[in-house]
Amino acid sequence: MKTIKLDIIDENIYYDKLDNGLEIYLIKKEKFNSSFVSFLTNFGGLDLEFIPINEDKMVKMPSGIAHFLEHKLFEQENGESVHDFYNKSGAYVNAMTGYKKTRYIFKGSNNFKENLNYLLDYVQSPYFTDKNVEKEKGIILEEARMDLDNPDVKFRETIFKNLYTSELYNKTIIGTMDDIKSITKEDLYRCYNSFYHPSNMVLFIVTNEDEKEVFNLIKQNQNKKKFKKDFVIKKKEYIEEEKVNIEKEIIEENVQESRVCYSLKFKLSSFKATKVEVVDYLFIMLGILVGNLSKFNIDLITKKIIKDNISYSINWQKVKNEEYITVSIYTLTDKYNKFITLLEKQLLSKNYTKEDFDLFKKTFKSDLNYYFDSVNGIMNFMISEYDFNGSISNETLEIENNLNYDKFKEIIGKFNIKNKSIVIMKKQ
Amino acid sequence: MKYKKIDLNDYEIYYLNTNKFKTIDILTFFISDYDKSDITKDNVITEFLINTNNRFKDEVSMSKNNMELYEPRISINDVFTTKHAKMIDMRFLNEKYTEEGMNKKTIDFYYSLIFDPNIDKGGFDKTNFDITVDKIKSRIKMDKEMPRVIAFNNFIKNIKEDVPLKVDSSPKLKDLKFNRKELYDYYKNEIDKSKVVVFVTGEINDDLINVIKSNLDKKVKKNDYEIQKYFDLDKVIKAREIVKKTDFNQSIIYILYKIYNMTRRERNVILPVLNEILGGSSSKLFNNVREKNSLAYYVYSSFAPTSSMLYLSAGIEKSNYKKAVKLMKEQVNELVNGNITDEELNNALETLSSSLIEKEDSIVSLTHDISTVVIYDRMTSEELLKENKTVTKEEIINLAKKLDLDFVFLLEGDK
Repeated sequence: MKTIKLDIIDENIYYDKLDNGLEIYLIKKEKFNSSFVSFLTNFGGLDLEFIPINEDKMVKMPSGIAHFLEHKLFEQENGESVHDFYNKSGAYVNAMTGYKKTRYIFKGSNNFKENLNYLLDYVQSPYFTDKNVEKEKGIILEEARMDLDNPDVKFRETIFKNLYTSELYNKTIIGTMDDIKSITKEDLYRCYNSFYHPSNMVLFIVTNEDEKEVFNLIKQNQNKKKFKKDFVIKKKEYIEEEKVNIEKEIIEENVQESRVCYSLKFKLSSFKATKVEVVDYLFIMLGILVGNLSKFNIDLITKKIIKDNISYSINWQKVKNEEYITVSIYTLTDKYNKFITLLEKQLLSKNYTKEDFDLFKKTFKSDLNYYFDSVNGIMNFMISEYDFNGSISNETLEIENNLNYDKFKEIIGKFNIKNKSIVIMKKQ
Repeated sequence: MKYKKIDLNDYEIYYLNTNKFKTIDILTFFISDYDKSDITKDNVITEFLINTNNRFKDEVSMSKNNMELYEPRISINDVFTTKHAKMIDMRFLNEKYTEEGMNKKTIDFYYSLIFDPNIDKGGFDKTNFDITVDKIKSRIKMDKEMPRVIAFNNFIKNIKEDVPLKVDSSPKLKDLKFNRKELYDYYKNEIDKSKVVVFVTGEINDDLINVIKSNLDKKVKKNDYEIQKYFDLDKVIKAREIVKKTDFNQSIIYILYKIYNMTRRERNVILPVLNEILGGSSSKLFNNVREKNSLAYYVYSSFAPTSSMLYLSAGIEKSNYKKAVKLMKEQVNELVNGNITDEELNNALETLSSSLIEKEDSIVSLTHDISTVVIYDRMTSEELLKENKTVTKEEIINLAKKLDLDFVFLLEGDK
């Protein structure tokens, strides 16, 4: 077990990697009553094409399989419901599936060791039958129906599908109705066995318990189980082009307000900087040019070109050996062409100052302190750091704490709008 | 955790001194009478106050100021029961994590949002007023995209009694008929006639309390309001069924029960336990409607203690409506017939107790908790933890027998 010291905010993270490959991050907080545990696997909605373990041919799974699998792991062979177990100690239990990861969580104020053991056991004991798979379809179809009634879900999925040329984002996390109906227990076992190996999983823990005891408990739990040695995941290697997939798409939908998303796609390597630097500097740039520090936003609202504040997000995706960064800028408007023209002018304007830059730097450390003020905040910190970097380290925070204006200008100098994708969701 | 009270002439302060958190939380209540036609005005005011004030007259300078203050988290919410409560909450970093003098600057800024809003020539500033109204209009429209919002608003419309649950707190286009001067006059009058109560949690010292006092002294008046703690309801003559068709994919059910003659213990202690057994995380509704019969992704129950009501809800496929309603009602009947296992009761009590203990880990939950005790006469977490230990099955059964089905509402998805 080693200690990762987060110097900037004077906090410690305990870390270990077991012989079976399972990584564990633990933050101890004696002042909090409750503990929060997330058991994560690097398997999500995008992972449909792979060579299953003990097989030699590439398969393509129905869309929605990672999410379906997440639902099914709550079913136990002995008939006990996972919810019932956790309810006995009053703990909250849930799970969630994203594009790249699935997480199983519990949060509670007592029975921590029993609850942790149970989490490891139920996630590592798949039990799928034809009957229990069939039963789940009705539930997931209702969840899918709920998503169909949310236009923003379709909007988001279209944005990603249009950014990537490979089939990577050509699917939804929940799956299509037909695909959900077609899933079998064999499909689930193939996915489970191919991705739910400890070497592909991570435990995140926030607790008031003694860290050594917790690590020992996990080791003992894992030592009782057999896992395949030399485990390798063979996912399909997509070919991704630098260029966006579709430059402009207009979708007509039953919405009350039209909306537009303007996205840009970059190869990380084009910035000649680390991902941390690029993403952080891009966030600052967007905050200054189109966000809360920008008169641009308010001007467009006052002139009734847009109907609500501009929002933005940055995402990243590794495809083969290249990492892609995408920037997406959204707003509500039916004057999309005018908005896009003005937006592009603003993005190229270089209207940023050191004074504005320094304001973002000021809030970096305070943001960390907000995270560490609650159990949920600490868990969110760990998950988002891991999601971004594939690990949690002091080095990343040090880079962020040492962002400087000259480097900002240098990196943002490489920003351009050559590779864009626009999605418009228009009122029918 | 024990809060201390400072009873001042014109307002009250309740504070809890704890060094558990890096932040300090201040929640200020402005309580007054209201007319339902003024709900939209309060929505606009809430949106207006948070974006600018008289010193920072545009959103950009306001944002910059927020960043200078290390980004305090500020929210304003309106709760409409028998009275209107405007709740302004701010969570900010204790200055020992930022820089000396920040506590005072941040609290001064917080109160400037309320007492020094962005005005011009006798009314709210025109540019920002217009921006705010346009944003509200947009959000009213966007609500029509959300079936669960539409379902809930239509569900509560069918409640006959004038209870808090019936109040639709969202803004209405038809009520956006005021100018910036009228709205400012309404706001000034509201502040003037409000009862003011402040709740503070964190590392509190006399200096901090004095800063709060300096911001409130001579700015608020003593006003007294009695918030009705509960409603007695008329008996149901005949249960109703209401259907509204839409072109959504999913259908949404609401089933409303009235509850008669609850004691204080039933309202505060027994009803939450009943609700947890009926519609909590591993409950009768969850296990039977979702898990065993696969009829819904979400199904739950919820209660409105002041309104003396309990309701069930589920999102289903249209063709399963009758089956789902039958099953949902059956779960209520299970309670009435005493079909509650020891495990169900113990699990519900553990879940509720656990969530009470966990509230102490969140500074905002702690602050809000004490406010519900003071303002809405709820029991404290300590009291509830003690009371939970004595809950019996008989009490739950007796309370279940007081449930009376009022109506079933279906927002039918016809797509």
